[in-house]
Amino acid sequence: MNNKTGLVVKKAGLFTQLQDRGRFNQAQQGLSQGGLCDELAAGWANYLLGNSSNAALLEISFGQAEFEACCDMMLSLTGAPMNASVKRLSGKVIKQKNNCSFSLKHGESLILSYATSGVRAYLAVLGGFAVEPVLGSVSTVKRNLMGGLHKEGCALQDGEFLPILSAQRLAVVQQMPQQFIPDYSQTITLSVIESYQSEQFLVSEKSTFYSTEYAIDKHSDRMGMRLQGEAIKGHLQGIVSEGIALGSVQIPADGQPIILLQDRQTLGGYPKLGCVARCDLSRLAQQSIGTKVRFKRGDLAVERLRYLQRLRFFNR
Amino acid sequence: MIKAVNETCFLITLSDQIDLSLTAQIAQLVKLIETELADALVDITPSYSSILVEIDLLKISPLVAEQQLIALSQQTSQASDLTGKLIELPVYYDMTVGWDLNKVACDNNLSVNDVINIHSEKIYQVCAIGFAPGFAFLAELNERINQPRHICPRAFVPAGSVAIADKQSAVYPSDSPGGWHIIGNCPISLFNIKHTPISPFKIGDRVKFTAINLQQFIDLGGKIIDEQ
Repeated sequence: MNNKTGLVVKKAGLFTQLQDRGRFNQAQQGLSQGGLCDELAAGWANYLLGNSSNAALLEISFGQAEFEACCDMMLSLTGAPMNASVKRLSGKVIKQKNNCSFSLKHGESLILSYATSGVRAYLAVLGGFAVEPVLGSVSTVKRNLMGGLHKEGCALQDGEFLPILSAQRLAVVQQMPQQFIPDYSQTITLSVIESYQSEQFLVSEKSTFYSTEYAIDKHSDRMGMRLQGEAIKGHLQGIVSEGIALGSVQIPADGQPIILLQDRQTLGGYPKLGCVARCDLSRLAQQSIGTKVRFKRGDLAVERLRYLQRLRFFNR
Repeated sequence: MIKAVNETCFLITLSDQIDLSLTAQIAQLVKLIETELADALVDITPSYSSILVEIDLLKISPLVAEQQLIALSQQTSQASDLTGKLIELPVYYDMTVGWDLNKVACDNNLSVNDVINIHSEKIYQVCAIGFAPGFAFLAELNERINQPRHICPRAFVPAGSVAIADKQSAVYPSDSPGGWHIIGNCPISLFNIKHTPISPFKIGDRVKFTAINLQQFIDLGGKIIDEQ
């Protein structure tokens, strides 16, 4: 293993997965798209290294992970701060800043503790992890048993080896500009593009939705963010199953909204109020269980422009 | 009707009800959209009466895409014939693999042979693919074997299980939990990521089941798995 270039997963942590932007053009076969949850933080991680926005990186949820470099390499760390530190060859442990690129020498380790705010950190490496994609993507989708290191949808395990491209140039350290670093502890208001069955909801049902503060429920996962708050007493029955777009706000029979995320099923028959704006989903991905979110009406044209600007920035 | 549902997705709705005569039109429209939008198409999710289309904003303006989708929709009509391929699937209908075969017969006042004949005499059409990778919803079941879902779904249904629920039939492509009534097993692999495409089904295809005996089932690689 020592003659290969890459990163050893000393401790995989609570939930660490290989991700890229997602597995597309397979929904017709019933496959979930998967893909990274916080496109903004992951976008910056790759950007800081000059990588393609689709380069494979690690999505580290909750923290408690440790990685050892098997060659000199250039990495970047963004997203939820996890009190990162680097263990030098001398055994000395020094603090590692978040939201910048940095280098590790052969034998040095990156150590992450628990997330102090937010949920997900992103660890990218120059050129991306060299893992063979399945159907065009390395994204790990557990429910489809697809992607990841062994192509079977498993999260990373202790002791696994993540290969990287051998030609690592130790480039100049890049930092995310301070004004773009989000504060994950702030309460967020999500813009909703009303669509799908929104016109069939009653005014009173929508008014409940927009005036309620919802807590993130503990059963939330990469498939969907479940919310708890005042129930939207739906008068709507099930609908004919239809394609579910990312961010869909589904209102099941119990009236507690579910926001469908990257690992969502392709088809669904619950009524939907619309979709949470794409750029706001990045912030949602950093909300931990129990934190509160609110909703406001969003404007399609405004949100399209906001998302397009983000895409253009990360896809130079 | 075509409406944007978020920044990058449009929903084309042809009806708010299940209407089997729409399947051919949907299949035709999917093909047209794939050709016309080409690499500006990120994903396409057809269902019983709608198609969700996701575009790449870096490759096409949403306003242009919407106009194209409207134009393409007008090129297709409900009168189109099913042009999808006919897929013949061998099924071993037996209590050892069709754990609910007896129950379906009893519940519907039929003999087991009646259930097998009624299920295998019809040509079904693929109306939607979802729930799990390669899981094709096949319609429409003869109402003589119309069977609701189990009240409590099984935690384990083996790959290949041929099942029915309400007016539909399906083959479970992989081991999974499931609430449909199982009446047999198809020994042919229906989901393999090494195959292109990964499953033989496409919306608009037709499916015909053929009863086989135990020897044929084993010869085709079939396995008898006990209910857990």
